[in-house]
Amino acid sequence: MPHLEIRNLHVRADEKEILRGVDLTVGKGEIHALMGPNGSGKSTLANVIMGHPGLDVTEGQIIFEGQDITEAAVDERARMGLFMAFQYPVAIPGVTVTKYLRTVMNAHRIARGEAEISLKDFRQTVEAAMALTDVPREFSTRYLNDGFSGGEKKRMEILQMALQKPSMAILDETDSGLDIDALQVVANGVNHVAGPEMGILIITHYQRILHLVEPGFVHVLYQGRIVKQGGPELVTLLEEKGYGWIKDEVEAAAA
Amino acid sequence: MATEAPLLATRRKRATALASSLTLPDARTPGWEFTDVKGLDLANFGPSPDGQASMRERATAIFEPQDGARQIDQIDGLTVTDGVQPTPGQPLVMSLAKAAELFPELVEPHLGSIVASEDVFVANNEAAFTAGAFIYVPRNQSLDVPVLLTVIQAATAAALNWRLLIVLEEGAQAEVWEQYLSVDPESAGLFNTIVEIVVGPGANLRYVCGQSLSEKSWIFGTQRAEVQRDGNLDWVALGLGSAGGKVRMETKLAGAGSSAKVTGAYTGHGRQHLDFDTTQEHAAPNTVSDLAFRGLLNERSTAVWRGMIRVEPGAQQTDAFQECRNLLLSKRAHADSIPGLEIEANDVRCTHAAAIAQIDPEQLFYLASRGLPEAMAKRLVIEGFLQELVERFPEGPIHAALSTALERQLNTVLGV
Repeated sequence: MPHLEIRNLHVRADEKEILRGVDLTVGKGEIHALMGPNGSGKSTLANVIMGHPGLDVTEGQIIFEGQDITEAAVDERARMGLFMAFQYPVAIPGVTVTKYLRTVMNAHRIARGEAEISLKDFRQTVEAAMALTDVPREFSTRYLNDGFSGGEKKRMEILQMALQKPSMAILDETDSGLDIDALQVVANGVNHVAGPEMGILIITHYQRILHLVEPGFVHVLYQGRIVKQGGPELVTLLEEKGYGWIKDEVEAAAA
Repeated sequence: MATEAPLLATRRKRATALASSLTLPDARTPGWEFTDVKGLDLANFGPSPDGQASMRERATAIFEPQDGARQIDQIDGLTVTDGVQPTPGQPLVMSLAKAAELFPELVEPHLGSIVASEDVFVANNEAAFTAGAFIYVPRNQSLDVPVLLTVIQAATAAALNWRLLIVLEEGAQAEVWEQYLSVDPESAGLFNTIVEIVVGPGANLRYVCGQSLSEKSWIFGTQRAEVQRDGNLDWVALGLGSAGGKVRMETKLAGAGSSAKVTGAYTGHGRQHLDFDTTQEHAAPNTVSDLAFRGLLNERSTAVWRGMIRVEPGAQQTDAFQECRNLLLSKRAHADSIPGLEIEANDVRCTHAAAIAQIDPEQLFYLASRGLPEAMAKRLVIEGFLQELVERFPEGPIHAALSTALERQLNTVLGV
């Protein structure tokens, strides 16, 4: 059974059709990369899988672990094991990282019918995850993403992924704007949580993260459709030739 | 009031005459454009009856007394003091009526010297106020324990006129907490308060005033402080209850090197209307004022904050800041924030900010994407909004009291 399956997905935002029939399947234990030029609809795909309220699915389905989640509430998707690392994580002023992480952790536990996490267990879990994702301890008392640099925000996203242990993670351009060190931290985090029970979809414009986290499958999105699929060799090809040839191919096929 | 001190009797007589010559403000009265008192008829509110001490337990408090706190309770017309004998030369925590009788030389120079009488609410208060409270700290002394004044309106359709006078002599220090409460959430009373504060040279006062009156009550407040040379005032206000009215909070930095920090939070739901009118008056050089308000409004509630920074000629090196931020939780809630500057000195730093916003849907999406149900996500954002105000204080009694009061109030505002 595929883990995440996107079937003929059409999506509109502000009356504009962004995705025009996307099919994509991610199996357990697989790492997929979704690439494409700016404006091809990559972030829209990530956001619609997570259930962004501003996006309107006009046709098609999103199936996760055998269930149609096309209309499911965002928080339900998260508690089912879906996770999206945001391209632009939002700040929540006045809410410390500690308070936030505990609230999230407890929301998941309560939904599973478990007791709230003890202070000791919480501290141990978070400290381990912080060490893994190279997030300094001082972050605990800072307000979530408030005044964080781009790199700090991305590390917080990976920290949350490590804590939440999702069965399917989507990384929406988590690599963009990162220096080498931060990119390495992100890659380490992803490699750490990856495993036979997990599916990963890395959305990126660039190739460099794909040298640190190696995808088994590569998809190229262009003008709201997947126009090319292949293995890691596609990354090398795009690195050498850019996206121009894809555009030419699509136009040639349409002519 | 047969035994009333002459100084009060004289003031009352004058105020009664004044009150009858003054009329209520209307929408054309400057400062009253956003607060409608058309529905108010002062004649409908009789004097507060004699109160019953047993009602104290029936009013839900905002603040619990800290260990060893000196307390005065006022329940309608009844004043309950803590029985400590007032001793000349020592700090005094006592009824104002009693102080006017026993220590007229301490009361007379200050009473009515801070708040001007020519205002309909002030005059009505002065004509009819109950015993009130007088807090006095002599030179270079400090009140080692906080004071908690609890003023409770138990009667309905009555006017409770409350009056507080705080005088800190040079180098003195004190912490005074006040709370205005109703017993019956359905009672429709009129609460009229005057607070006069004198912070002497180099003196230090923390003053906390919270109101959680019934949501059918009127509140009118005229609260004014004068801070003398190198004195410091830390003023905290909480507006949680009441149906409508207006509270003025005025700080005059009268002496060089004086400073004031003013922090306010208000919340509304249902059809509540809250109005805070703040003034930061810089009348001397090298003075600092820092004012921050936050408002949380749900359902059809409304609020207005008007803030004025006034810098008088010669008040050079003034550093003044004011901000008011509102979070609207429903489409029908409404807030007006009107910052103002009047600057007559040329070497000053004055900044202000006002914001009125709803919860950002992108914040809710982010939190939902991590598994938080909508109600939880909203609450977290709101708690953060309020927490930023609480963080103006280090960990300690005020930090804790504000957190507790706001968290409890959040349940009321959200209806959970």
